[in-house]
Amino acid sequence: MSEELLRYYLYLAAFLFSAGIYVVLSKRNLIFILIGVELLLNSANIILATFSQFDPKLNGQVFAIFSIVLTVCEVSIALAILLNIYRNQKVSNLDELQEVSNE
Amino acid sequence: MILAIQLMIGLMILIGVGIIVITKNIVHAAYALALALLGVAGVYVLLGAELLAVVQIMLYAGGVVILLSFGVMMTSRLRGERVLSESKNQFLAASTSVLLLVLLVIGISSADFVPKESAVVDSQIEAIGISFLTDHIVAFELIAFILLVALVGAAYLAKMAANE
Repeated sequence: MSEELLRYYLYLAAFLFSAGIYVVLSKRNLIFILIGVELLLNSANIILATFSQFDPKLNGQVFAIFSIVLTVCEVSIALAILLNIYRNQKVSNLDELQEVSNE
Repeated sequence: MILAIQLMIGLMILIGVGIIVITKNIVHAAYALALALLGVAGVYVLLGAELLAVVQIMLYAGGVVILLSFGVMMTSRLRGERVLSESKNQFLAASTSVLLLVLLVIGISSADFVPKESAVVDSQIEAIGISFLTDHIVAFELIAFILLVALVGAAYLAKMAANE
């Protein structure tokens, strides 16, 4: 792989990472924040896949698959918790969330 | 030709992420996320990581995006109105992320990468499968168990929300 191409993928990952940071910090809805976390994890996965090009055992790709599976776990649990919060308190913006339990 | 495809995939990610950053509508953001994730799958194809690209399309663009849009539908308070999300601390968040981007770009452009040939692997899927079951067997079993527990737990939590 040429050096320019390597840098191109790294710049792409850097852009995804900083956009994800912006979304996580600025949006108020929990689903938006989950979308931002997805962007952050994808940027890490791009870097893992890029550098596993130089590894004949492809360890980077193995780790990227692990991280994708963990992301699926995280999203499903987070949405189930969000459903519970929404049923109890009718909020889905994190700022309005004041109490954990309504009892 | 290959350069044009690389630029197009970069543009796809750029447009998808740009829509997510700009829009207030959560449904639009979920679909823009699908666009950006398909762009990332294209990056994997260009890198020669076919298995990763297929996993990305199946789990991310297929699973996570659908899950997120269902989440939007089930937690929207306003019937018949668009689901919007306001922003807070916009200046602080924007300055943090721009600062981070500048630092990363400076770091990447000043790093000395020694040019090296890509490793030649006959069959990537075979190599990854063998390393799952030999070098990474403990992590592989653990991740399978964690996935099972997480999905059962998520189903239980969602059922609890539905029953009350």
